Amino acid sequence: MIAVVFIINMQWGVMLDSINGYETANGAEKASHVASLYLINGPGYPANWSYADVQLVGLAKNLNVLDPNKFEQLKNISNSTLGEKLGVPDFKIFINLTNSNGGTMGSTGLVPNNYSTLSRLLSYVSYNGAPSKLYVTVWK
Amino acid sequence: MRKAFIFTLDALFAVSVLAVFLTVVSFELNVPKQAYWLPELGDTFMTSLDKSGVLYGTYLQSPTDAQNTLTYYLNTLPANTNAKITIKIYTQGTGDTFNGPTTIEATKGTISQYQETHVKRVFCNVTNKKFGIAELVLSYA
Repeated sequence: MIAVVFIINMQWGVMLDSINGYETANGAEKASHVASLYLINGPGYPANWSYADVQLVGLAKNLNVLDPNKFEQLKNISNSTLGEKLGVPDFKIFINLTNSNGGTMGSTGLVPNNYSTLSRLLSYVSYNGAPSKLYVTVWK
Repeated sequence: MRKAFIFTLDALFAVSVLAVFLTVVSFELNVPKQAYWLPELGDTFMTSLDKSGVLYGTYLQSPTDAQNTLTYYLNTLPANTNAKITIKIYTQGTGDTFNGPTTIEATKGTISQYQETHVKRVFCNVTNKKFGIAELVLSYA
């Protein structure tokens, strides 16, 4: 009986560790996913937003086709509100757009430092008619 | 004496069932989850090639040049992925018949059957009476 109780206790501990670890990793991963979807799937709100009146950031002219003018506007949004405008207010954001070779075409947000959790998601987009890479990093 | 013995067996049985249940649950939680980013990476990769005219452009290139173009873009994928892209181009003949396909393939590394993902796109060029089917297979390296 003691052995059985020991096994149950051990398994319960393993289960709790798994659940806690999964949820911690999953929070940042979900946030990078949400922010990326907002950026590449829609125009944002209002649809013709500028950095002064944006409520929800989106960069897409069409699905996965980014609007260069909106990318320039994105750079003017303050780092403190960028997460909120991308639907992930609990995280800080760093966005980096590169060409297919990896050469930087623009970046904005806060470069990660002293973070406890971080997730970086790569999405391919069409930018100025060429396949490009959009990296969205969320961290806190 | 006999009742007590049966009660002990019942309790042992119940505890055993619970132990098996917890073992199965903990095993399931420890099974590696498939990274959601692999299908999404493949999807955005193919959409960007489509929307940027790269897939469409394979109509206009020789098979060798088209293969080189596709190889170039495959090599921009992350180092921890392997990929293979296959494009089949059909040309309309007389009536409703289609000739082909002309097949163009490009690869990056060797596809692993472990956690592979497939993405397809169909694209057409009405003027030249051609259509193509592009399929990407993406896996961990």
